[in-house]
Amino acid sequence: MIRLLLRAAPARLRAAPALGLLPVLAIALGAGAVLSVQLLNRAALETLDASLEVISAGADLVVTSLVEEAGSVPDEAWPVVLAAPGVRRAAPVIRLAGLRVGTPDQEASVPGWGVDMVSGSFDFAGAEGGGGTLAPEAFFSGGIVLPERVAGRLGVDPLDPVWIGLDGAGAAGRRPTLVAGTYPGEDGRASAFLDLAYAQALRGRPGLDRIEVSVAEGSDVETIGRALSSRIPGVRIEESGTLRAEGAELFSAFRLNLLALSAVSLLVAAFLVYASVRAALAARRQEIGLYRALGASRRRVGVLLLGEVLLMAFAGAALGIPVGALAAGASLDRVSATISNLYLLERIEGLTIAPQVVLLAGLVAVAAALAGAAPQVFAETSRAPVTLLAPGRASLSPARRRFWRLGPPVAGTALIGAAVWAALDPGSWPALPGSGFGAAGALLIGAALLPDAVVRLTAGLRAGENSAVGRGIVAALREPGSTGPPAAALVVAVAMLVGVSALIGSFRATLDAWLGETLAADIYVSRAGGAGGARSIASERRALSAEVLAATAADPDVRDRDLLRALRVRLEGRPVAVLGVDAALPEAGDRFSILRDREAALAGFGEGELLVSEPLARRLGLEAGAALSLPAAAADRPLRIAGVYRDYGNEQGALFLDRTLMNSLYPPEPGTPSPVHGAALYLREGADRAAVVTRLERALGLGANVVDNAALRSRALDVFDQTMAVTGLLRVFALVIAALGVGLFLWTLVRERAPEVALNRALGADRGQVAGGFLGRTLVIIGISLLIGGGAGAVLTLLLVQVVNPGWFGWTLTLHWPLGVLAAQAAAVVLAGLLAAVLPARLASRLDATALRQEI
Amino acid sequence: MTPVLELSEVTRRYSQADGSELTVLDSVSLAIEPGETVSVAGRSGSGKSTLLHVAAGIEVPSEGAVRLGGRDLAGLPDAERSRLRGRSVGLVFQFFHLVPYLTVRENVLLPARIARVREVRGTKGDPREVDAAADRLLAAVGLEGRAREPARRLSGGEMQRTAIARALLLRPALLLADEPTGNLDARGAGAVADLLFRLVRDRGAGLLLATHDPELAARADTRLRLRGGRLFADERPPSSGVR
Repeated sequence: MIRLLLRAAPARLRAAPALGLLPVLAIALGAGAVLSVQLLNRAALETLDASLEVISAGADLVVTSLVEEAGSVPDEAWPVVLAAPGVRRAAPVIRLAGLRVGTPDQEASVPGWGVDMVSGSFDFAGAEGGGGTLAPEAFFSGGIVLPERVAGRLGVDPLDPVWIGLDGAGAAGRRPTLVAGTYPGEDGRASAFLDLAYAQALRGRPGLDRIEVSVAEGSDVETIGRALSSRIPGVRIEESGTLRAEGAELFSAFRLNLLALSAVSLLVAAFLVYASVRAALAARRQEIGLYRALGASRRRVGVLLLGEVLLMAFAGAALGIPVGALAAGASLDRVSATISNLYLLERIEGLTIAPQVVLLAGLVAVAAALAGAAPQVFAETSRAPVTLLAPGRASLSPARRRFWRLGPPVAGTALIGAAVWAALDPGSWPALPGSGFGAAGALLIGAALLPDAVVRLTAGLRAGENSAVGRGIVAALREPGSTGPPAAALVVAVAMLVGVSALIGSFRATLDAWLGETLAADIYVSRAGGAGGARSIASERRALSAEVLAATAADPDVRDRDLLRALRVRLEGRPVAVLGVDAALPEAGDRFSILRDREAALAGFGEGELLVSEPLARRLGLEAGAALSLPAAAADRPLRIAGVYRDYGNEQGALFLDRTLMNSLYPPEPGTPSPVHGAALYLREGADRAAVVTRLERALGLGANVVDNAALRSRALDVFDQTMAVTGLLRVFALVIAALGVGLFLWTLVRERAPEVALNRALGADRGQVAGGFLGRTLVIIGISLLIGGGAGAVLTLLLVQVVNPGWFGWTLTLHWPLGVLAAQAAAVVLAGLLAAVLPARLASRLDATALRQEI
Repeated sequence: MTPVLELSEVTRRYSQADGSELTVLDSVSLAIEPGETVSVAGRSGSGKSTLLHVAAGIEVPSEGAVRLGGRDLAGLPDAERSRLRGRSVGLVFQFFHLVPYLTVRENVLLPARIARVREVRGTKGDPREVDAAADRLLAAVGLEGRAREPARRLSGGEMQRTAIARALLLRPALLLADEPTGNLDARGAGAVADLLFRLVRDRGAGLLLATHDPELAARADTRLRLRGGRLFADERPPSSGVR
């Protein structure tokens, strides 16, 4: 029997190519969406790994500073570590964030490290697997060692000239040097190496980022770690490997968002499989009845039918691999820009298509296809053979009919009810991790179960029956079985489009308002390469030079300066930005959007209390009045929290305190001034802001960014738009899959209803009227999808804004409906649906009345 | 008087898979006057359905001419041919061909909806007249009590009565019936045949009836037989339209 089915498969495909091929295409797009997101997430993680991984072969421990300012592990710590008992080797390391290497024609971004090879603490060959070439004299004169991949791209060989510089420093910040060597590198994670001293010079300040420690054989790693902690104050000792785990956590929310969006594409594809299997099985009822009548058991027929679905799923998954790889390649720049903006990493230079990722995406797609097909296979094999064999009258028992008629809408309503409950009363929703995403998933599945019931409820509506379109509308409303499934797929896509667009619209509007409220100064100055916003809290942010500070102080139009110092500490295992500003400045309070009791909060802040960001407050359960001890502070005393402020620039968490207090808690290196990472300038009344910007730019050259608040606001919004752009492709995926579903169903209908079309032709309908009938059906599918999908999308928006965002990111957003965007998307849905209907309608209009030889 | 249907030397050939041609109708000529009933008998596959399809303009003859109410179908664009068929020809099929999700009344009204007409020939043009005509026809076929039920719930005989009512709604000049009793039991077949002939005669329409039931064929004014693609007078010679 299996052989019989397999032999018949090509004939079935020839007879109904769309019924076989379109679900394959849908699975391919679903698999492609998952694969592309997995590839991008992996590429992002690899980039992160490259910046965090231990670069010394066999290192057991990593010494970093509790206060993560760039270079915050003092040079003097290295000999202390080396002298500690049980330490076999200690390699001082600094990381060159945003290192760029180039020739006059090409440039590349590459993870960069400053290492010490003079003492032999860093074993280049051992660390990178060997096989490379190194010209020591060039290296010790400031030359750079490149992975072969990067050298190949730049077209350089050892001892060829190149320039090096840090991202954003501009042409003036570039330094000429030589290629000191190349090596093969591994898995796209290859880094570039500079001599430690030259790396410090390039970064512009002394100090180390970490020391990688290998312990002597037989020594206890934990004991040595504890000993190092006690010998060197202000450092954190971690076992190697934990850095990467913590880094991956940084990305978790970003990755989860992309995963959730790709899951929606998969969900739409599963509904499409459900719908196509339903159509295919309906057309094959007599065949199934015959097998059953000839003695095949339900189980055997069910297994065979699922086997066919499995073949379809494998074909779709195979097709999805190139689709996913292409989509990932097309999105790489956007994701790279996002990662670079949010996490201050190098740009992602390439994708690695790992077999395990491909396998995972394929398996997920196959599982989705089977899940989509199983209910229909179960339903068909449950019917008695006699009802299957009676053409057109294969009916279920009354109880089963009731179950299939009432079950889905009841379940759908219950799921939507739960989601609405979560959206309207987030506080009473179980505070489990991912519960917001769970509620969103329930909402989408529930909404997809409703179209059948809505079609049944509207079956009595009358349209203009004298028009072909009107008759098509009536036909669609009278036949829930042929309208519901394609509408279900489109409902999910519409809900997702509305939800994600409204979330982005709300986020953007909130961010815009917040920027307007908090960018109180006229002009902002930062070191070139630091763009403010999310970047401003990164540990690698570089300090303003004394010349820059002097120039801002000397400008005749500058009335007041608010100087910012930034460093990073770890609170409960996660990085938190500590930001010092001039609390006594009259305008200092204007930079905050305080959540509650603004006056009391600002008064407390002026008296040495802390302001904590909303994400940090949510994560640690902090509120006004509570006390917080800052790690590694010189004076170990808890500080009172004056209030909580809104912060949309940093999901990890940040806190503000007076800069003088900060300098006493975290005193600078002896003999060096306290670093200032940014200056907010308030101008005298009547001063020409543009003229001051031009004057400062001319005075400071390319060493500083000088922007007025309008430009900064616009730049922040640009970064936001760039960050969100990556969701666009996934939204398009879901819409295309759903439109394919509509097309598939109409095509199936054309085949199923050929005699009905022929009857209309026999009764005098011309081709235009036949096509009009299909247009009417399409309009119903689109209308129901917009109705249910729009409603579900509104609830989804509430969920994302009120449950998911506060829960995952700690951000309170103001609800904003981007009506223009939503209207454009509704038009896109209508257009996609109508486009999907063109081919089936054209096929139908070509049918003639001779098909009346068949039965309706 | 102009014949309601006139076929002149109509030939219909089909290409076969092996490249040869199969001639189903071979130089067939036929004319039906208003009020005349003609039956065509023949074995299965003899070309009866093809003859009806050609007569309705559903299929285009390979050679020869088809005139409906004096209008030559040759050269008419599809839309015009469809419109002419919808207004002038009523069709009754062996397998009824009702739309299952429409009610009985909606099925009867379907030709009017397609032709976008609200009035029936010979009435005053009341917009509701076509609805009233449908109700009268449903009463005439004995289905007024089931008018609002979906067509899928009807028995075979009821379905065919509905199809007859549908075929007559727009008072077509010609009714084409393809084995109208072929799917019914003997009792149902007799009732449907009575109804068909009575209504056709009441309305003065021409009837071309394809059947292999000799009793049904015998009720027609003219009896013809298709054999080898050619049309012959069946048994008793009529004064008939075979030329």
